[in-house]
Amino acid sequence: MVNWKSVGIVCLSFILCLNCVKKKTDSEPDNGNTPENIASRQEVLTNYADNIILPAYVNFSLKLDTLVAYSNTFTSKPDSTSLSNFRQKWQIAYIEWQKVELFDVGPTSDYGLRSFFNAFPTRITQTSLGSGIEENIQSGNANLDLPSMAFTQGFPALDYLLFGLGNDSETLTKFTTDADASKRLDYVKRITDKMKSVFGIVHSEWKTTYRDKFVSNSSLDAGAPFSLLINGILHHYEKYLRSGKFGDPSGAITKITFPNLVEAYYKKDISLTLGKTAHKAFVDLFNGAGVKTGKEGASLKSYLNAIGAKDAQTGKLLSVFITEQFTNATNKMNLLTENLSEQVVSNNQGVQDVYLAMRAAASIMKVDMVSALSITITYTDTDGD
Amino acid sequence: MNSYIQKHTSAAPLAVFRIAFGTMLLLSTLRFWLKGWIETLYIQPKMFFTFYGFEFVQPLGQYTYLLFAICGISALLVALGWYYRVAIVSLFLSFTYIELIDKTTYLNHYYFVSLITFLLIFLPANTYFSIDSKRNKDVFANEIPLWCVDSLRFFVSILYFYAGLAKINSDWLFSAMPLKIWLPAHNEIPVIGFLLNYSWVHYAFSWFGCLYDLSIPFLLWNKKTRIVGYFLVIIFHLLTSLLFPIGMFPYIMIVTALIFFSPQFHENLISIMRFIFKISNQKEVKTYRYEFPHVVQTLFIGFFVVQLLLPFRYLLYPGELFWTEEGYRFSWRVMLMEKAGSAQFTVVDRKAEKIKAVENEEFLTKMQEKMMATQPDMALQYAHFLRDHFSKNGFSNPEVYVDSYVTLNGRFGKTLIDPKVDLAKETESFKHKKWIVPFSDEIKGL
Repeated sequence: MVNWKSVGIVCLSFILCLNCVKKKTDSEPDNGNTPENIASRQEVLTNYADNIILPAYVNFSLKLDTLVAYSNTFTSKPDSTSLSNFRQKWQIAYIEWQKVELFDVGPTSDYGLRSFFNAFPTRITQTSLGSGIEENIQSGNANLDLPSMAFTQGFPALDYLLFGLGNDSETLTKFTTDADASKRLDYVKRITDKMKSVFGIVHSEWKTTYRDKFVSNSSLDAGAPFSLLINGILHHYEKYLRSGKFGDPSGAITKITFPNLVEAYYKKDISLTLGKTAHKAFVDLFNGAGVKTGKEGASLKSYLNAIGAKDAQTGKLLSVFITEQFTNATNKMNLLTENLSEQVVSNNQGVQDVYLAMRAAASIMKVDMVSALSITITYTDTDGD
Repeated sequence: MNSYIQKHTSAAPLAVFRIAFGTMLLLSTLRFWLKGWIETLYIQPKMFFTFYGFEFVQPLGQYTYLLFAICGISALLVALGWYYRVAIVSLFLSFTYIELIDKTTYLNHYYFVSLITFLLIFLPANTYFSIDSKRNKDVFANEIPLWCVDSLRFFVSILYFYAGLAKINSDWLFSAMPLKIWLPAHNEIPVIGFLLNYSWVHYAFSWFGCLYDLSIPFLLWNKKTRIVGYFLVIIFHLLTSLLFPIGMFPYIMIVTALIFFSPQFHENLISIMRFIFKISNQKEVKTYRYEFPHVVQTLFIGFFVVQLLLPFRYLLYPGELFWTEEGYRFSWRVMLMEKAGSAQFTVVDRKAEKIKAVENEEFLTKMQEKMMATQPDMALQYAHFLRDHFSKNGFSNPEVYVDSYVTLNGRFGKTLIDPKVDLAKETESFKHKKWIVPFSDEIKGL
């Protein structure tokens, strides 16, 4: 006969167990014995969204609005005053952009915001990758939403159009008496309008829906905001800051120098400022320093400290180790002068030193930090080996 | 010994095991398919990390779906006990083939499944409560040699016990690594989440996990402690499935451990299944015994000798096992390491003075890159892939170097592979890889 007793016991224990594991309640018993700094990813996300990302977006949107306004003034009445004003606002907005480029998560990443603002080196004439700025000016109908058109718009394209067409009077001529002057003006307007509209969409999604989504999911799964944010900023640091601004122009890996690969190649004398600004924005994010107050809140740094991330061999704090790399990179940048396209020729090792310092920082963040955070990188099964 | 071999037992435990295991594998296959992993793991990648000696196992493109279909149907047939011998051979071959395609997806529990299906080829799992035995009276047997059931129990015991032995090391026991890293990542889950922030909890999990693995075979084998043991099996595996992305493994182990229960228990389960599926009882009063060719017993002894020795092959290699991973796989080492790394490859053409920095995402999936960056044998395979790729693309005699950086169980990252060694010229073998930079710390223990 069926021994119902043993079957019953097994079934019962199964159900009991399922119950105790799956049971959901939001109340967390407070036993007065909590660790000093609870590792709360939710606090980090909240501080990042409310005190860094959103205020930085507000700041940038103001600078962008001004840029667009002066672009409109210039395109409706191109003269030396409006050109000079436009150039000045371009520079201010470009520097401000460095403070937001790293937030590649949520709508920012969905819309590929960076590709509308800062894909460089800009493409002047047709290559195998697509038409260049000059062809786009002629056709007047290039689809700026295509990924292949990223290198013909944004700040780098304006850099070329405002500083790369000759001296001041030659530049002005291109927008006034030149045969293609009006087409050129149209293209400038198209670029700045595109920047305004894309940023408007992204900013508004952040404000209306994504901010809440961002702070409400603190899991570390692949696809959760925390993981996406870390992936986004690390990708930015490695690819655009380390390699894009310093490594590639100096030929750190290829051993071939490319002075024309620097950021703001035509303006020349702001590329170091752009790099330093981007680096500082990254460090501020790591430290959780508020954009308005500068006061440090919950951050990657505080989280790493809270989970006790330190070298198992020496006991050195990981956050300290990372900060040392940042300081080193900053010091190396301070040894350079503004014009990086000149520096990669006259002081190549100096630029490579920045690359090397940033490479060390990137490795430590990508490997030691991501490992300490226990971020999941894919959805596939593992058994932890 | 001889009298043990003559001992017989009810065929019910093995029949239940066949049904449960077949069903689990069918579900696994379906799950894999529905999650789209056949595409992302076996069709999309541009290169595959084959196993040394199994380079002939190549991905099948779109036919990989067919392979999975064969695997799933075989699993179903095994569960039903219908054309069992053909089905179990085809299940073993198709499942093992899939697992051999790419090292990236190697999991101990896939290896476990492969070996179980191998054993099942020779075991009389279809003699009772199966379609085969219903259709063909010659197949029917309600008693089988005891060692048939015991061999599965023994194999499961090896898995647990060796997994426990591997945890006897200073990282696991005295630093609570890697659980100290993994557990706080789940501090947001309800009820128990907050506990995972505490250091003592990390140690408790580590020590409990080790003791659990070492003792569970004995608890399950002993009649008096079996219920307690099984209760622990359920708790342990459900907890791990809650905390770690380990897929079907916990459930497979939960049903596998039923093999330890008495014949009476399994008869009861079969009665329940008869009742639910309205299957009439075969009116067999006579006892039919299944008898074996001796060669199978020899084969099993050989199998277990290999199983007992293989996990210790790491002793033949110099250096720290966790760092070099020479002799790491196929040894029931689970959950022991939080290892992460980056590997920046450069390809050099001396003649043309060309240097190319490789973007790994151009050739590898994220998962492949993660695995390759921390496992020297995979880095070597990738270097060879790059060598061949670039020699087809304008590089003459390409040299391949890697700048690697690897962290193990919370130690700050170190160089894993000598950056001055041209990996294009190194070859794979079972010998120690001299170009692995020695581990800078010491992990004591087994």
